Amino acid sequence: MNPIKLEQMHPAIAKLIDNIEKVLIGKRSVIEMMVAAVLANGHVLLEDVPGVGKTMLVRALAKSIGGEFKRIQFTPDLLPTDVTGVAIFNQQTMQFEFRQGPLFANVILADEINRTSPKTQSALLEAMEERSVTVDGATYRLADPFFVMATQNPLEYEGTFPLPEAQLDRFLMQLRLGYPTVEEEMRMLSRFSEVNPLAQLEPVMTATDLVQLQKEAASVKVSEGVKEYIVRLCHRTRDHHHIYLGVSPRGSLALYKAVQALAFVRGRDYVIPDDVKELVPVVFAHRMIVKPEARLEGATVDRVLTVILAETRVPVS
Amino acid sequence: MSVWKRSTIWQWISALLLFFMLREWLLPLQELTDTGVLWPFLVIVAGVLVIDVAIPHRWATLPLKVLGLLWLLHATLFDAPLFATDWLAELYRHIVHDLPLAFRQDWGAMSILSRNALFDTMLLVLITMLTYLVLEQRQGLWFVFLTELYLAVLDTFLPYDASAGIVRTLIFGFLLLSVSHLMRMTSMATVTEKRSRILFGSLLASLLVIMISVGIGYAAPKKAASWPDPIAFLLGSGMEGSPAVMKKVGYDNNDERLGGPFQQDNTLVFTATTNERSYWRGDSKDVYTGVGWEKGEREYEAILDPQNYEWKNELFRGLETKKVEATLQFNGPQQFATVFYPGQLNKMSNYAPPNATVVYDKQNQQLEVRAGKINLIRATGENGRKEYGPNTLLLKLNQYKLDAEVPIVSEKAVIAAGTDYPDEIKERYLQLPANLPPRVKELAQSVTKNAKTPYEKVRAIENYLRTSGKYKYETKDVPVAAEGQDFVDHFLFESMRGYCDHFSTSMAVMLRSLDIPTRWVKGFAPGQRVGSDEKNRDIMEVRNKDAHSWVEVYFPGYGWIPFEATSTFVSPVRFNYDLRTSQPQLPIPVPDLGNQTSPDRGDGRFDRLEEGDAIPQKRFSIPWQVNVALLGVAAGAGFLAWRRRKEIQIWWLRRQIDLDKSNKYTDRFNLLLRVMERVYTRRQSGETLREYASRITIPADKRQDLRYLTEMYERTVYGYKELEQKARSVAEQLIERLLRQLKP
Repeated sequence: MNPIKLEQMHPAIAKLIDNIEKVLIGKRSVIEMMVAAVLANGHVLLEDVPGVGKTMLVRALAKSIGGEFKRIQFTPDLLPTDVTGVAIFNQQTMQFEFRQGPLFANVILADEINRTSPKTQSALLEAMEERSVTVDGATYRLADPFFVMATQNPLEYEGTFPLPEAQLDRFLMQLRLGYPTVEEEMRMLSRFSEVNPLAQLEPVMTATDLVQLQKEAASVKVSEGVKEYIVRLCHRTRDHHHIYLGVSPRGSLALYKAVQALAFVRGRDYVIPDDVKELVPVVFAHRMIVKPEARLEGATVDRVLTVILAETRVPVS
Repeated sequence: MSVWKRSTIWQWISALLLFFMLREWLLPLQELTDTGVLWPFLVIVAGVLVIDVAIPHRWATLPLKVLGLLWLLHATLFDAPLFATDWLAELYRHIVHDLPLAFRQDWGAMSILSRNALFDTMLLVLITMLTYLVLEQRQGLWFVFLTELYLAVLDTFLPYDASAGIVRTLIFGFLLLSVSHLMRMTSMATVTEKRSRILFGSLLASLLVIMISVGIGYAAPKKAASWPDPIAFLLGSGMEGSPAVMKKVGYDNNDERLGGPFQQDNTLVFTATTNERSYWRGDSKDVYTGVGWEKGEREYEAILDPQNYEWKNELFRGLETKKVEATLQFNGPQQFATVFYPGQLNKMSNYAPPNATVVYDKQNQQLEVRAGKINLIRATGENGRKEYGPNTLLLKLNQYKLDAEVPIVSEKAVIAAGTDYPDEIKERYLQLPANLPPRVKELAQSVTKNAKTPYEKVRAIENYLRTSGKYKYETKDVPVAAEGQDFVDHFLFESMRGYCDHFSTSMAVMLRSLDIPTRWVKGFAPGQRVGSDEKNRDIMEVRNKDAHSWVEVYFPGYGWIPFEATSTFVSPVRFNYDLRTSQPQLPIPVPDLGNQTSPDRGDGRFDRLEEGDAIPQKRFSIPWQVNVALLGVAAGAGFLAWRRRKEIQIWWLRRQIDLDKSNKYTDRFNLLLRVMERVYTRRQSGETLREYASRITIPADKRQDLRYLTEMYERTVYGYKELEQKARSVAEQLIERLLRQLKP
């Protein structure tokens, strides 16, 4: 699939993507998807090795939308209140005062989320879903826009707490950055040798603009055929004989929102099946479990999804 | 839902195929045994299959099967209500009583009830085992093989025609094997290979292989079976009965129904030492019934001392003759009460056993040997003729010596014989059935229209049958006349192939229709010369295949002269062709019999001669060359159309696009897509239009056009937008251009 030209995109989105590409080279497709996730008001799980530019990506995004950026490094001893914030007794006012945790920002990088205890994980995930935190009976609304990008290190398993499937479901997409090509890496070296481009990054829109764009993205047309296509794909994952856990209705809703957003990013006000096909692996993969016996035969979620995509009839008329 | 997952569908298909195979096992029961109805057994087969496939828990199947069996027994053998216990008690009593009998294999003493119950139980157990082996263990090959073997054996050794069953079994069996193989493949394949398309493709492939092999087997020329009826061959005896049953060649007293295929038989009948090769005459018959020959009123003479009895001019007189001395030795498995003699008999001597007497049929010049004294049973008839009934034992002679004479027929003499037949001869030997179709007589008249005398007519008809090329000598593929159809009429005008009985009977009937007294004679051809004795006499071996029939024609003043109607035989009768030569003193030509006694010459199972006889079977049919040419043209056209199918399809689609310009853009794009699919490759159903446009290998400019058109299409289909006038006209132009450039 050829990358779409910036001129064909929505002007505001084109600027945003162009801005992020100043720091992260050669990752157009991932950037588009991440922007789509932001527009769909969803969160992203990045599963990748350290050093490929995860932090760079999120910080660039945060800076571009002029929003506040926070980073939480998850460790086994991190407490829920370290994330959400805590009420402190102010001896001057003789009252409990709420001190906001790192969650109160527009863009949050939750690093190595599987290193912390389930208690802390669920505090984060609950906040992601509810877009508010409750501490000592008081509920505090989080910022809008609110975008969490969590990372998982796929290499180390020692001392980790893998996220349960029900919680993985909260993420709209699971993305992989992957290594840059030789050429891209050389371009990166020359660009980063003089100054840190991140520091020079200027915001291209305000948080209010982003909220407006989110609303526009939600109004992208989805034809009946494409809707049926989405639902069929979902059902297919549920009755496939290699799959233990298929995609829930929440998953089909997620896919629906994601394809709308991606179509919007690509400058269209209607969804085409190509959008769906492109997003199915990133939206569905972390919501499915392959049967152990099928795994012995070499089945993986990606392979099964490839087969499902090849077998499911594309609506063409 | 994937077909890969629903393995139960394949289970059901296998079960259905298995049912058809088992049905082939049961079908012969009805024909070969006194089994009245088959449905209870078919119900058992179907029931077991359904229960085994449908019920996943094996422990539950047995009680179900037993219940079903009881229900079936009740339905077939009891009148009592189903939910009563007395019939169960009766069943129990019967089985307890009959079980010991079953172990003693005293089947006859068992009651029908217990026999049925036991047979049904056995069937149930067998089919359960079979289902387990074939459907679950998927070991079907041995079963297919066994089924074929079973049907082949039945077809070969019993009067059961299983040829259709064998073909059906082949189809079902191979299908069963391929389905079970596919099921095994399904369980072994990895995820990425599990596309339903592949599965159906492989099923289609095996179907195609089966269809092609069955089709070739059906259509290909097959060599005729060397044992058309192995039972008859193995038992070595001819089978009487319906004419369609394969008969074995040989001398047989019953000629009431002629025709039907024959089978080669080389059994030696007798060895003769003779100084003249001639027909071995056995008997003649005079009444043609329309389907065969019978003997009319007979006059018998009892010859109590055949040794000293002299026969004189029984068959012919007034002709030059040659004395013949012949000794016949019967060493084969068959012996005959009828005496076979050359020419006309003078004396019979040296016979063994010596206590023989002879009943002589004076009408037909037949000698029948009997044991001991012959009793006169009644003397009736208008003329006070004495009739002797065959109430004594027939005696079969092992050997006898004959003094006889063969005629040397002067053409000059017989051509002048005239038509002054005695009344008795006219009455007896001009008989024809009333319903003989007139076209037989018309044919005889047209064949003999240039002949003036009876002798010339006889020769004309003889030549017509022997040498016109219309009638083919054939023993195996001999059609049988329909019920009520005249045997001669069927041979002359419809089947046009047959053996000596067909030829000789036709000649006799045709001659009779011309008012020439004729009769039908049977006996043996001269046989094969195997050597000579010290007096330079020929030693001839006469075998069953030499059994033969010919005709005798009556000439006033001379008597009965034999003629040969069958095309592949040469008459051994000596003729003096003195008509065409002015010197009757020339040596009398002897029929060239030197070659006749070749091994294949007999009752004419003489295949080599027939090769030259390939004549069309129907006179007014299209010549086969034309048929072949037409078939060739049709096949060629079909092949070309197949080779050019893409062009044809594309031409058709283009025409459709041209026909309606006012069409909606989406329709026109779809037509374009169909053309593209014919020219390049098909779009997979899971492939988007953009993916398709990127995948196919087309020049970059065309791909760009296609992409633009695709985007327009997406806009209308997914975005519910009407194309603006300008975009529409651009798209229209692009479609035109693409279509022009597309070449298969």
